[in-house]
Amino acid sequence: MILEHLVIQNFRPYCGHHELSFAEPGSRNVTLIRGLNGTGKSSIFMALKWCFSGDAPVESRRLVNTSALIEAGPKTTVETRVEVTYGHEGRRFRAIRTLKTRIGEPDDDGNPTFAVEPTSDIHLFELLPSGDAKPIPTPFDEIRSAVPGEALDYFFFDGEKIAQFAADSGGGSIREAVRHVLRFSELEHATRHVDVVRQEYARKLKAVSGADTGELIQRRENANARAGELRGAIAQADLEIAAGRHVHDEHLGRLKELAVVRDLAEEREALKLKQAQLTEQRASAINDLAAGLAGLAVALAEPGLEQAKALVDSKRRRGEIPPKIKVQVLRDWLESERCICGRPLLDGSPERAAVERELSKSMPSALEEELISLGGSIDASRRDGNRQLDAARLRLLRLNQARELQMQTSDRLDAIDKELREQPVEDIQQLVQKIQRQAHDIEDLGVKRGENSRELETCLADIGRLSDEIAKAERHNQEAQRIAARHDLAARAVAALINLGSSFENDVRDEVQREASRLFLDLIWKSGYYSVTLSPDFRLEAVDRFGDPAFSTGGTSVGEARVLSIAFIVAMQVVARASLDTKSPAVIDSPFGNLSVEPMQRICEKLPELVDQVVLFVTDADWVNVADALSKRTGAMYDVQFDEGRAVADLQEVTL
Amino acid sequence: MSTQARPEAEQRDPRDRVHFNIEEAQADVYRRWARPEGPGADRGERRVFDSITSMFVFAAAVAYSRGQRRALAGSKRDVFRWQNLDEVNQTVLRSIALAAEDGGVDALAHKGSVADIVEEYAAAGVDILKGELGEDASRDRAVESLARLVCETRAS
Repeated sequence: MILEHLVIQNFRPYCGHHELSFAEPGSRNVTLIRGLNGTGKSSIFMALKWCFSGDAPVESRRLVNTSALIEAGPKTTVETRVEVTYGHEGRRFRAIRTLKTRIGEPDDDGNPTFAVEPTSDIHLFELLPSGDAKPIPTPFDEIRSAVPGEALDYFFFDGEKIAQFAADSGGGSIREAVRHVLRFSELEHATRHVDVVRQEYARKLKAVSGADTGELIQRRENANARAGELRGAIAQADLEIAAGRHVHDEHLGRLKELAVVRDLAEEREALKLKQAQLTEQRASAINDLAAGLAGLAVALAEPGLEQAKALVDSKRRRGEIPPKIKVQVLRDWLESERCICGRPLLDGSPERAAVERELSKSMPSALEEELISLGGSIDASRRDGNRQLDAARLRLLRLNQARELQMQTSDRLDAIDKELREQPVEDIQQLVQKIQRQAHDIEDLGVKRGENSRELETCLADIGRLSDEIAKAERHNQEAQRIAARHDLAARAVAALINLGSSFENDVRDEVQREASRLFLDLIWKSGYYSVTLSPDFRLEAVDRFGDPAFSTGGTSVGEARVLSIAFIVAMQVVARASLDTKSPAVIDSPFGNLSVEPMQRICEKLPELVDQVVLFVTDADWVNVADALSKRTGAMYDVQFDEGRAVADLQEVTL
Repeated sequence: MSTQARPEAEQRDPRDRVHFNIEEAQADVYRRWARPEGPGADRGERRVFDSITSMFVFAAAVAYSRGQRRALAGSKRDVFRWQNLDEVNQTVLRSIALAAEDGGVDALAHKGSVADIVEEYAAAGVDILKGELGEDASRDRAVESLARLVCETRAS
């Protein structure tokens, strides 16, 4: 499908007739609808989806433009209309969806009354080269062939519903979308058709065969039917097991988180205790320091003590602090006027003068005692001061260590508190029970699948044996043999088609996964961090480099989830185009959300290269960031403006 | 710097009569940082210094280590006697007084002279402590700062 033209009339904020032509595939395949928030961009997006599906996120009354109703006046009918002209596989179509609103008489309060038709009408015309418009009797089927309903949300993608997309990724919606986009239904239809042919041959064979052979054939038919049931049951079990394992893994992930919470709480308790101990250590160190402050005065005055000691020693050396005995001896000599050697110390003699000089050097006894006592106590005091100083240094070191540890503890506590605040509260026991139940359910499913597989083997063996018996019984019946051969051929064809479908589904899944992964890694900056997987049950997932699922568990950022969604949508289209040689548009409302500028620009560069037609609904703020990347690829551009006075929107084509 | 003469009686009987004075203006700082002594004092309360004598000696030692000394200004307050000093503090004060006299020993002739000298150092020391700690420092912070001050002074 390629969009050509859109007409909207009296739809949402658009009063009257408005038109828009889409850019064609080629070098300028981008159509931009630009406007401020709330002007009416999303209403155009809504109009496209409503036209193709009839679905709208608002009630019918809200689809009708109120100004149009008021301007029309009483007893008239206002038509709300959306026309989309599009091309598909070489043909052109116009889809027209209308909704009529009858305006009644004003009510008692003078307010106008409106009656909106409960359902809208859809008409589809094929626009023939001759200029004629050929009505299509089953518009819904024709539109579905161009845009399958299951895939509509992926071709017409509402960027505001990223979260819903992520939530749906666990269900079967992606699988259904891929199957429809890639026309799996045609293969299934072919399989069903061939099986009908096989059943017809089986009936004919039964009719032309003898009673015994007919019974054998009936038994083989029953076995075939049972084998079909068993195959379906096994396929269903596979899906349920895959889904169960996914839920189980999610629960285990949650349990890991809760175990982390418990560990964090225990660590927090221990840290709190340690912090209290450190506080006590600090207080104790401070008290010890305070007790030693008096002793530290000695250390401070150390130079004074050293100087005083030197002075006392010098006095002693110079004999200025003679011992008392020396003074007494000198005094005795002077009194007896004789030296100890017998020399007379007569008045006026030089010897007496010498002794008197020596005696004069001595100081008063109190001062002498003071100096002697000071000299004796200085050494002890200095030793004491040095001890106090060493102790103070050690205490300061311990104080610093305690403070450092306390800061580290406090930082860790803050970090733990932050982590704990971010953890949802959940009962671990409850979660463990869930996990055990889930594991048990998966085991039950596995056992059931095993039983079915065994029964299928038996069934297939019975079918083979019965076929042999039937072949033997019908050996003489040429007609029966011919029909049997055709039946066997048809049966083999059915089996081959089933296998082909399964193989095709796996191949397509691999291709979509490969393409989505390549594109996702192209678009994000952490290209070495993630890989993208599409599991056998079509669960879209970004797996981080540790092997943990990031998308479904919220491990990716909102921006990354948005990029992954866009990558997946584009991947589907790329694979569809390669497989089916069909063109399709990517119509994306609010594509960028809160994306950073770089991925935004990468999307704008890549998208027009990979998709045939791109329609983007952007805000003026987005435009500032993507103008450079898109200007060379833009083929059509419209500004949406809102007239506040009339409360209506208007579409203005921008000349490029 | 000036050394005010003490009464004659005090000089004659130094050991019993020598009193140590602080400036009245610094009494409030002593009240806040030193644990009060004497009857009725709350001995359980934690202060930076465990006694006024400890603070006085510490202040004198700080000022001596920085070579700062100033005469007491304004009115004075008698805060403790010579015999309140333990042997180590006596040694510190006597050494400071002796070292301050630049080679002479006269300062030791009378305890009163020692007191005159160290009172001037203590007065300057309290100024230094106020400048280092700020008047509103908590007890724990002040203790830690003083211990660091001593260690850094000795390291240099």
